[in-house]
Amino acid sequence: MQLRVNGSLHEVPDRWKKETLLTVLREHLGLVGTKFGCGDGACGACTVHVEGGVVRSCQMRASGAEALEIVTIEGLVGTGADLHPVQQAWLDERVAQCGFCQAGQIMQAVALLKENPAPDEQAIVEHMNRNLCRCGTQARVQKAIQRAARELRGQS
Amino acid sequence: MKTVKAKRRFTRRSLLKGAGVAAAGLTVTYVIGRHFVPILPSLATPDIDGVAWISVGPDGQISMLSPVHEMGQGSSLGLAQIVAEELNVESSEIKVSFPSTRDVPHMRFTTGSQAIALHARPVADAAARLREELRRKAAAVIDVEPAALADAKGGFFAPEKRFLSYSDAVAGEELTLASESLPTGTSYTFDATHENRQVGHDALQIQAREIVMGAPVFAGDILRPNMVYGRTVQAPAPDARILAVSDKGAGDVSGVIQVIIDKPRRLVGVVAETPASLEEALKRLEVQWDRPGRFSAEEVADRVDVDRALAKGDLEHSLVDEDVDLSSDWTVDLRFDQPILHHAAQEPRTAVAEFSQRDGQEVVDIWTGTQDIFVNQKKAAADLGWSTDRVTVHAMRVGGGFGGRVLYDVVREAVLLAQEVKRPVKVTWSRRDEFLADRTRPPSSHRVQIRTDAHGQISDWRHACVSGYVLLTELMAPQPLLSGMRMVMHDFGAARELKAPYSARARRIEMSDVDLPFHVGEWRSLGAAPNNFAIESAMDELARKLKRDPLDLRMQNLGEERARLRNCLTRLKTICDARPGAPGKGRGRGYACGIYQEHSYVAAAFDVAVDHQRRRIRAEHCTVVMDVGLAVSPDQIRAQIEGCAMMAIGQLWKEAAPVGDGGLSAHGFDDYPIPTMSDVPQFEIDIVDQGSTPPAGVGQAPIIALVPALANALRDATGYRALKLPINFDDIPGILDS
Repeated sequence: MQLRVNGSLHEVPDRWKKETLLTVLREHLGLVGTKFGCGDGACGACTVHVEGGVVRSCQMRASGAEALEIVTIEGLVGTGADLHPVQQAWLDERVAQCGFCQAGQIMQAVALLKENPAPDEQAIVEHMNRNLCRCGTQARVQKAIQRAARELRGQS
Repeated sequence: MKTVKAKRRFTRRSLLKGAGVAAAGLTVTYVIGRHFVPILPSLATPDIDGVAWISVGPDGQISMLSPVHEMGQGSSLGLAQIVAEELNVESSEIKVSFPSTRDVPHMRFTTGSQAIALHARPVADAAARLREELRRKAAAVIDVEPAALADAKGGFFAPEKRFLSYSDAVAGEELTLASESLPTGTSYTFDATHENRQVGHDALQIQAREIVMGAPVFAGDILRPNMVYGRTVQAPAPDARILAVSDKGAGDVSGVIQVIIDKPRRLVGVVAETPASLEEALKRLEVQWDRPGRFSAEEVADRVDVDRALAKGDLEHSLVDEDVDLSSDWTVDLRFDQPILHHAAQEPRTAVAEFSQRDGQEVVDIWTGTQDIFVNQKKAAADLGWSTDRVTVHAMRVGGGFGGRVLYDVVREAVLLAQEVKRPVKVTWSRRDEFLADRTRPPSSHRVQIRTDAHGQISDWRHACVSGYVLLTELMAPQPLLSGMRMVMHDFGAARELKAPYSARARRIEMSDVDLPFHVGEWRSLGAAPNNFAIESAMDELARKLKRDPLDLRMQNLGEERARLRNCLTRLKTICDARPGAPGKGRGRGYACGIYQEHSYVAAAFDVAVDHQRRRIRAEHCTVVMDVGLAVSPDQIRAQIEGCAMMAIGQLWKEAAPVGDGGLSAHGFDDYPIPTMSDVPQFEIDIVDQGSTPPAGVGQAPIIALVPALANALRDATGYRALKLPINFDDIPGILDS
């Protein structure tokens, strides 16, 4: 089995075939930015992009992602680049507290801004509401998304 | 009217007054981090407070070991800002590391709210001495008096504007200073005449870049060569005993390395090559438990029923016993009930354990996110029958603490399983395990009775509370010592802020702490949030009864010594008056305040609106005035307030640990909903600038005022008094109206 992750092809041995995409990413490929939070798709810490859309990687079999384009937090920017505008906005708004959910939040936010470059508050809430954060960073997540949206619109 | 005078009582508690404070007291000593020295030269000696934790390398790089664990409370940033202030650099230029048990001698690691209060001054003084030693070294380089060198960014200016960097000052040497040769230095941080450039300014959190880039900072991010995956079956309750275990083919699952069944140690677990093999084998394993202590929600409620306890006589512990008039004509007399709460941190508990040979003996390395690495080290050593020096615990970032991470359980599993299979083992708890084995916030019930004179001055105050234990648990002391402690003292965690800040002619404050059949422990602010919820809800009801402004009534009843809280209330009133709440039915504003541990002062207001269509209440605006003394990291203070406000919303609208099938029954977040982005209010936060007052903690204080402020806003909007948390929307009159 092969997985295409962040633009590179990775060989996955047979014994990892029955794993979720999340555990293959983290434990086999060492892409540990994507987190295990609940294992039933309820918290969003494991959010990655598959074929450009958001997927809860704890709910997807690795075998089901074969031949699909997978992007994780580590692959948001190409080699050589510094930070994705959403990541930079996260720093500018000083969003993170404990930080555990933040990679999933960022992946969810990047997907939103691809679909909707100028989301209003309601659109942001609807898109982000199932990405949990126990520290209570949601207000700053909102601000960071708005900041990144402005930044991205300015670029295009 | 018949007047009943309270009988003056002499309790064991009053004889042992202060014992709880002594038991909770902390001793923190700073000594040199020996293993840190070879990495970067240390300008420190064992005797000097703080200095050993900070070093300047030959290249001028300033490094520090954080004496506090980071779990999002931001105190490691606060300490880095202090060091940066003293050494005239940017906080982002300081390399902050989190030490392992091998890097530093044994010390008490602090929880969030104590971190800044305990460490700010010694760290500032140490860094100031370090700066003055650097000045002396730099002066020697160009043969001038140290006084001739002026501070500059990252070094000093010599006469004629010559710049000497810290790298020039240390001149490539490893410097080890004897304590007596260290010059004294006045810390800038606490000098009112010094214009601070780091302290009091917003700065990027420690590890923020790693977090947004997905770099490894948590225990689960650790990958070791040849590592495998393990987990044990969690007991369904603390008193559960294993009756029988059936393998049911768990050992036959492909990829399973070993099924471990050790009944005496209550250890039933699996180790497998991959996480999916582990899950499949665990599903097959069948454990039969003896569960003598099965319980229902009603039985738990009965055990903490304050009225039932009062009907039997005085509560177990008397905290204040003045000459209170106990006749029935109270101005307000209210009963409050608060539920079992889970921490529900986002990171499931995780540990990696690896055995190896070092210096001819077997040792173990452990990576975990904990609030206390040394406790984990000691317990692992005890489990292995080893000396502690053979156990190294590496402190990883904690993915949400809230009081729930002073624990050993997951480390024990990793250590014992790794010892069995002779390979590094990673244990990550399932979400179900997280809820099942959580050291919950115990439920409590409260009766608050207040009587005032015609002018609103409080004459008699009574607060009776029954709560589960918070600090007097098996984490505090083993049996039978624990039982002895419970005999002679009240649970000073559950009793936190049970004494209201208000003056009264006479007060009676009493509590009973009771044993509950599930795990309990520390939860953000310990008993302070539930106790102050009862106090501030009752004060709000008092103001309504007397038709008084709720802020004025509070200020009237605060003694002179409560000037800092009064100031917070005054500022809150000014802010709120300038922004009148939106008028209309179903809208309201509520206020509350509190003092946390005599060091943090908070006054808060919530504006709420009934959303009839969605049958819910929305917290629209949240205003907080906070005085924590010197505000080292204002942005981190705001972040903690925002987080506490979200938790307050959770406590009012959502959170209660479900009980079913004889025990705690939450399996996932669907069973224990927590606040989400749709709950976010607008924030208006005013941090009182108290530069001359030592800094205090902020992680826990805001929540004590925010929960009652929201309840009081709900009362204002709907007439509904939240007596039992969380509220049931169906109970609120008018919520179904359209």
